[in-house]
Amino acid sequence: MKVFTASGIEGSTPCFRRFLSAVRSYGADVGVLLGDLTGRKVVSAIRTGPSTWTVPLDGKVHEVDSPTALAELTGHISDHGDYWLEQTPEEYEHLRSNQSLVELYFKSLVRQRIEEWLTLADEKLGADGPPVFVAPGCGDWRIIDELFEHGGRLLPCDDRVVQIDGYQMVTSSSSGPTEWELVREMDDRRLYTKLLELCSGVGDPDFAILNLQAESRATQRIVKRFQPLVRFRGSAQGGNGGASKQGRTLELSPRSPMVEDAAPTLHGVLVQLEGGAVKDYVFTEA
Amino acid sequence: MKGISLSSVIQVINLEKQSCDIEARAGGQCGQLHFREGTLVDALADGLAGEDAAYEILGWDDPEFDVSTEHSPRDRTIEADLTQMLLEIARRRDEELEESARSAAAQDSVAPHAAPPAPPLVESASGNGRGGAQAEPDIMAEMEAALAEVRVEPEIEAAPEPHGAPGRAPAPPTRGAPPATAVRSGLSAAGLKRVVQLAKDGLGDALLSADLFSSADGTSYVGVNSRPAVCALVNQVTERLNRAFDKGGLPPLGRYYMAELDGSGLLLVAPCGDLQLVLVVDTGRVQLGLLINVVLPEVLAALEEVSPG
Repeated sequence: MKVFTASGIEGSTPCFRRFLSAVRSYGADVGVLLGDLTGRKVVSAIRTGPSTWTVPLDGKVHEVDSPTALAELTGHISDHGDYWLEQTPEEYEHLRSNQSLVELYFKSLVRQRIEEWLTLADEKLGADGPPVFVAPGCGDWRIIDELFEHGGRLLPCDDRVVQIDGYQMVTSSSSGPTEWELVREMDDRRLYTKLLELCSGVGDPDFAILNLQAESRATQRIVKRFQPLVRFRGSAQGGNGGASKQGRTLELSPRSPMVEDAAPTLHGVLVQLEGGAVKDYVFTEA
Repeated sequence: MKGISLSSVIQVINLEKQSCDIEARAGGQCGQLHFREGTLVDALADGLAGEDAAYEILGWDDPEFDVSTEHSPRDRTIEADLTQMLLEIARRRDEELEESARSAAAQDSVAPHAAPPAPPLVESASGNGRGGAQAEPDIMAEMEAALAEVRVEPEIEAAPEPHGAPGRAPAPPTRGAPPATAVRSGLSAAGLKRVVQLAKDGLGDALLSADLFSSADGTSYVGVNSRPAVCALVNQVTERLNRAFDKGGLPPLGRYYMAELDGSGLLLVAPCGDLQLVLVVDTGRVQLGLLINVVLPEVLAALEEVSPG
């Protein structure tokens, strides 16, 4: 069985498209997309005239003088996973003083893009393609979770054990404490208890795949205790990823996207499992 | 506020149990939606109130709206569940889309069967249209000029389906589309369109143009930002490459060839039987690895599937 796993696309639709294409092109029997799925910021395009906009972005102010140039800039913003909102100067000033409204719009844009992806997945994967599982990351808002529960081609796998072709796959988006106060983090003790309960549903660890993105004492203890065949984990921002052994467990970590990457890049790993062993694996970049 | 949909905002308000008022505007109409702890309690729209007003507002296409988190007390006039209301709106929209699709299909059924004569592109490229060493610099100049054109609106422009009785009135041309050309017998219009769609899906805005054209006369069957002149010129280049390879004792062309263009462009040509696919790609927006290893195999497989040759 070949499993193609990618992670950290952070709102980038080109990367999501590549993931869908790659599942088929690599001949994977199963596709798994792990978080973070959503982008990090909303960019304001402030309309200053009939065909002019001011766009503050990454410490610079872009003066845009045509709808074509605006489409190009907002396309670039979207491709890199972020969101944009066209506003009047009054709306912009109003939003600056209303953080709860900013958060409402941000969350709405996040859901909007995931809804677009769900449609795209249904179109591209068709009815006869391989199963494709998806789970958010520890930095993704919980408002996206229910979107995967409506029976489309993207199947939810977060906080559950799913059966795939004789193997059991355990996934959790929860993380231990971090310096960023992420949405899904919890203290290590609670996390350990939660993961213990989740992994108790696994029969034979030689036929188990563990998707635990975030690293913490709790996840390390779980891997040490259960010794699944393979574990997929994330790597720190800009990290090179790679493969390592934790006892019998092969830990695979696709490279993390660089913030300064010129073009959005999909990082993943294609693993071939056979008879309860890892026959081969290759890291991919597209 | 543009770039955000009203339904997305409403769903977040509902999920997060927020209290707020929304003022929406579309096509000269305006209305209000009032939420209390995530529940839609009241609505007003142009003489309507309660559930009727809510359905009216939620049915508007792409309304502009403002959200106010400062809200006053409201009496509850709506008992219906918001999710059910949104599903009902979606169902009504689907019905409207199906109805439009049926109307479009009825329109297609009177599309012409016979192709209009192909434009004399070959002649414009080389004078005599075939061969001749002196023609080659002209071809390259023409190609350069053709590729320099920048077009927007990368929508797929397809020839009409090959059905309908001869002699009937042709369907009106679509905006920005090349002259209507009927797909010749034996080719699936849907299959041809799929080849280009796969390229478009895989490359996104890195795809500057795509054409799937006939090797017989260089006529484009389907394209994105279609460039008929490029089709005709590429057709000649392919033919000459094949002749040159043959004369030089080399094996014939394989599945594709590429040419790097000045700047960040890449011209990729895939001859397949009687068809050729030509893609112009902005390599600044896509990695070559993705193009060669992911997108191209998928596109070529679809091309081989659709090509009778």
